[in-house]
Amino acid sequence: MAAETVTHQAAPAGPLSAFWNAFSQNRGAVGGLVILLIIIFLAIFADWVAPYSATEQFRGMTKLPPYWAQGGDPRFWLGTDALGRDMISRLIYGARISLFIGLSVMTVSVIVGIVLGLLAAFVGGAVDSILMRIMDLIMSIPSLVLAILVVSILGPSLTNTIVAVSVVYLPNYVRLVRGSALAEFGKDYIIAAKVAGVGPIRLMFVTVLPNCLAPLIVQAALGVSNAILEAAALGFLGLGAQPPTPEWGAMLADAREFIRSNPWIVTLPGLAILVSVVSINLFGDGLRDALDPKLRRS
Amino acid sequence: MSVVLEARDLTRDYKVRRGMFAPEATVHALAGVSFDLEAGKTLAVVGESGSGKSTLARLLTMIETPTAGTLRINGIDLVHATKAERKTLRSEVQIVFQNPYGSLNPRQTIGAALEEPLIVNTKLTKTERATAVAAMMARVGLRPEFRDRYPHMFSGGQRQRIAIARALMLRPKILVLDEPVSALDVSIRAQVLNLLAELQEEFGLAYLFISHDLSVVRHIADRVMVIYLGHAVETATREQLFASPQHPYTKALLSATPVADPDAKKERIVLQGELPSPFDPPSGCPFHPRCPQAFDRCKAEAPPIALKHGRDVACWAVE
Repeated sequence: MAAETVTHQAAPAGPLSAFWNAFSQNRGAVGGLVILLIIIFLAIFADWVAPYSATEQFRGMTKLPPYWAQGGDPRFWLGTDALGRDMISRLIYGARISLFIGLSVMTVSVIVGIVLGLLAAFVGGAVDSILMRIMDLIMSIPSLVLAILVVSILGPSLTNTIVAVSVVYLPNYVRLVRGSALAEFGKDYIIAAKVAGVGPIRLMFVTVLPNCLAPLIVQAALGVSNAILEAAALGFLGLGAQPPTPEWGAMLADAREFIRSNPWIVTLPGLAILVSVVSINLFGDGLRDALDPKLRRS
Repeated sequence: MSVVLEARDLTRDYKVRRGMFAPEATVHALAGVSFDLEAGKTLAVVGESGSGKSTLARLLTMIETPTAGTLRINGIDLVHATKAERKTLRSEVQIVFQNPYGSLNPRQTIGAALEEPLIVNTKLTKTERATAVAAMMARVGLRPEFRDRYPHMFSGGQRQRIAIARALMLRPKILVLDEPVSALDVSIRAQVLNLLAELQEEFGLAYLFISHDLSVVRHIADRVMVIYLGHAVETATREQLFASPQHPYTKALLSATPVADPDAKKERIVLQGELPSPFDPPSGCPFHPRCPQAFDRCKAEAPPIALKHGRDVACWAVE
């Protein structure tokens, strides 16, 4: 037991703390991480943090400005929307939905991307060509147009938004995994594993995949913010989450007629999208710098 | 004297496309090489870059299949072996690579790297595997606490020890050493070579030692095979080869090795030209365009491998 603790103290001194040292030197990235953690906290504990339900309407309290502005009501910190729903509650619940979309899009496209990318790299030949041409096809269509196409085929809903955005971002992951797998493929340790009798499945997922992970993690982190943006755009067009779901993009769309008379209703969800996307991007950039051995000094 | 591997007329061609409309070209990487490997003995393969040494290593380790010729391991013909036979034969031949920085998976701890061949090929339990790993690490001179460390924490010599340990985990009969010490410091080189010699004696291993460094070959080999452009030009015991090289190419190679004796008379044979393109090998003897002793017959006819002066030589000029 004692011996075990000693080795465990010695070993992880390597990758994880080295990573944190490199990461924490980038202040923007740390700031992004802090904001991101706050947003995640709000999203997870929305039921306790939010003052009201996201869909509860307060009659006669419609379009209230934030409480510090003239005519504001201290019960509604950031005011209410056109239907008298509390703005801050909707934003907090909206964080839950946006993060859910971002993370599920990322998970789906990363998993599918890993499988297809490794398949293309390992099987090669016709399979590789066909897969990559399909990916080229997807990439050649503007992402939003393609997402609209997928949603209009499947019908507008939160699940279909996730499917559509996953399809749009899939080629990035497939190409990334294929590229880094091919780069690893020529190396001696792969041949050594083959000579040792390692089968193709184990070779793909145990030997090659961990060595392709660094760029993939970065792409995945940045992909979350792209997915949030794309989902918000779909929501804005009325093709994403349907009312009364408090989705940020849909909130923007519902409020755009009040942009002159009651600008905060449209500004606040926009700000929420901005802040979360910027914080995720900062975090992702920091992650890339910290994981890229060329930018690291050790 | 038990022969564990028998190679006869081993040939490997690569088809290469040169441009979209150009016809496929064939590269003869290995053009009919025959040799035997005996348990406990070392066959060194010597040749310059592009001579087919690494292709030979890839054929023996079953990474690639020969285009022609037969390869028998433990008496089983590899080309006609069943899938199950191939799987068992695969664990009989293992390889140690030249570059210890590329041959270890950077995301795998040393313990995991050594354990992997056992996980894939045997039904040992976790504790049995751990015991085997610990025993092998001790055998090659690695401290037990290295088990949880990653390859980047080790020096070249230690990494090569790890690579050797990994190759031996399955208790192979044959070890292909593809320039195992070329990337190491001279001070480390002797340690690794001595370790290899000890392991050979202990496990009765047959070594195929690929090298371009004749001083290392002189140290470790029992027999030496000199290959040029995919052809075995001279195969002899170490003593014969270094004492009286017969083939002009062998002579040129030996004359290029530095001798640590300032008074030694040096007669350096400098070869003209480059290794010919394997796309379009010369007619007759592959060595004739660069050979100082070439005459008309060399251009027309390829010399057969014949027993001359107690060794196998392929040269018309050797009587």
